[in-house]
Amino acid sequence: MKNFWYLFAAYTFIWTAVFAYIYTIAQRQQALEQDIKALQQAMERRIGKGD
Amino acid sequence: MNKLGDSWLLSLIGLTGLAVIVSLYLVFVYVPTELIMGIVQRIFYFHVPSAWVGFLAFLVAFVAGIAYLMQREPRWDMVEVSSIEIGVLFSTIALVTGSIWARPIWNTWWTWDPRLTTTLVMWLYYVASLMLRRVVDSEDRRARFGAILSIVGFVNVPVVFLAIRLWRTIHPVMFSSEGFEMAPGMLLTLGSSLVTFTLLYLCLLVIRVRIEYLSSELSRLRQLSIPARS
Amino acid sequence: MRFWRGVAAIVAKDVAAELRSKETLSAMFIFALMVVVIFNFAFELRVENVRQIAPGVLWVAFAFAGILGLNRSFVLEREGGCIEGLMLTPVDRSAIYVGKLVGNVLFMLVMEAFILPIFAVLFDVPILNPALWLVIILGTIGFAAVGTLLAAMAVNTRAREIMLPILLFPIAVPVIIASTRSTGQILDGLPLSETYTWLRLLLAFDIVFTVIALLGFEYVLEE
Repeated sequence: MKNFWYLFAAYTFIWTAVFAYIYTIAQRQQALEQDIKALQQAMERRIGKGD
Repeated sequence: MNKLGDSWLLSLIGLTGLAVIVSLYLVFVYVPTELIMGIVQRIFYFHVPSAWVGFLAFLVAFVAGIAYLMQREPRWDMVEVSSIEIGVLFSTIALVTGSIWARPIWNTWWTWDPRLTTTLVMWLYYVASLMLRRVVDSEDRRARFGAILSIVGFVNVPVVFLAIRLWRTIHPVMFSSEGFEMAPGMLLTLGSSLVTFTLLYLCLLVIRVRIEYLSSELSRLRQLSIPARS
Repeated sequence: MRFWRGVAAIVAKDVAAELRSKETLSAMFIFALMVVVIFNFAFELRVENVRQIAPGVLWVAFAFAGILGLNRSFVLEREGGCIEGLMLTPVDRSAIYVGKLVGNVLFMLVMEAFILPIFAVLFDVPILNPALWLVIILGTIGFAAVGTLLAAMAVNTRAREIMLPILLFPIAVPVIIASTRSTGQILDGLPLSETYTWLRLLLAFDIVFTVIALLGFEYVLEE
């Protein structure tokens, strides 16, 4: 079991890196979807006011 | 995007999850410990597939770049930038795991092994190409330049590898990175890891491309909403 | 025929502009000189045999000074609005690339010609060797071939000073390795047969990347 910590470190790094990436893109996705929805609602309201 | 796309993505994610579980079992339970290197050698089953996915990602970006320049469809640009980002992610993993593996085995944090060195050089390049995208203002230019960079970069990969390998055969360094014999169980484990990482790549790519698509949708909507003022 | 006339015109324009101001060449020369002197200094204090690192120092100097030249060749165009002007002429886009490439190679060669004697003195190496000149020419062409394409793109960005180096150096790694190795072998007095592999690599790089850059340039200049 020598060098166990190296194996652990490598493994931890992989999972951290991948999940950090997934997290950042999930954040981006949420922000984008919110913005799109907000814009869509704003546009519908404007059309509702009659243009 | 659409319900059909969603169900495909969910199945893909499910399949990837399954592959991850199988691979984890194979890497940590099934495969025998290598005699000389000990358990640290198991890093190999993550290190090699990461490097492979990096290469695959840059290859996809290369193809997407050519396709964009020929067809000018935005979706090729979306695939290209997404693939490069993910390629950089997995190349980072390959470099770091390679380094962590090298330390206990060869008592150094870095080996000038041709594959590892090529990965480092290309990592620098692709990070630079992502930076360039950020400082180009025009969307059309960004896509064009990105495509050219993806093409040039990928063509350079074999050339860099060749140059470094020539350099090292003339000046041999003490060790090679393939320092062990491959027992039959190892091949299966490696293969399973390769499949898992490739599936993971595909998942990330699809999700990332969606973000690009949403982003362009947002811009499009923004454009539309401007003249709507009375 | 019109192609080559276009190329000649562009080269003539760049050379004439440079002869008037001499800004680019002097900047390149001074920069390369600084690199050579500083490296000599820095290593003299630690390294037994400075001749061993001489090839590396030479090519680092050439590479950094080359970047300077490449950058300027397009920044000046951009400031004068020349690129748009060039595109309006009936000259092929590829002629613009070749013209720029020839100009860049020329400027680099001039800078290198002035640096070599100083390098020879500081590092005590023999430079009157046509094989050495061949390596320098091939290396310069390779560096400039990709450099011209990348510079044309980098200049069109907000961070134009930093973009060219960070893109060009990774791509130029094969050129730097091959040039440095063969320079070392030649300076060490090894027979030319040893250097053949590196020369072939340089030649292959030059051809492959000049062609790719030529093709890619069309897409850079679209507007």
